[in-house]
Amino acid sequence: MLTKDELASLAVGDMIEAGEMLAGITKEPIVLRVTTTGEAVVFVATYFGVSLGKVTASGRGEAIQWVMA
Amino acid sequence: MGHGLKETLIYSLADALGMNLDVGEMINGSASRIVKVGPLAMMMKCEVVSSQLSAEHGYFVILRMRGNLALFMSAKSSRDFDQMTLHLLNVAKMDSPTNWLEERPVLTVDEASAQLKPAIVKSFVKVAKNRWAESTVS
Repeated sequence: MLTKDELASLAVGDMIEAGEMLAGITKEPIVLRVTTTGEAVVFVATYFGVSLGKVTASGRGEAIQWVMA
Repeated sequence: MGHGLKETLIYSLADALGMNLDVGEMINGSASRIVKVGPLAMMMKCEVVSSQLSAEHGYFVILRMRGNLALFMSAKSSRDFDQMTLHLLNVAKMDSPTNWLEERPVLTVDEASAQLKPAIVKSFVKVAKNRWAESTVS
């Protein structure tokens, strides 16, 4: 989805779509909104506007590491 | 009815979530699966926190998902096919979903939907095998 350069260029408030959660029912994606930038980018994940929790993406190493708290 | 409807409920839920779920596992407790959502390999917890198994009104379950998201799912037998409904709930706008059904008199699906209305963010009904349609709560 994202390259490391794209991850590094994100600003607070940017939103990206992360894929479908209830794929058998609706195409609505989980939305990730950037809350913190820096070495790791922190997102708040929402689904139909309901908070699912924090997601952290770290660009260190070869691939982006995604962690959902 | 009985086990057949329970299986219908769980298998419809499994289809909706894109998970493999076992009937016993779900009605009796919780299941967790790693679900790939875009770049995220996230642990999707899926815990039954409340249920009502009524021969008259059908089978209802409330499942706690991640964060503030919960699902209310109902299955009721009818002559043509089992009627399935699914509400997505924001638990921040309702009483605790844990034992929500057990703490109330036996409800019809309409009564439960009416009481949950402030927390419902989206509703779906199953209209055919493997096909769901968005619906509105009356």
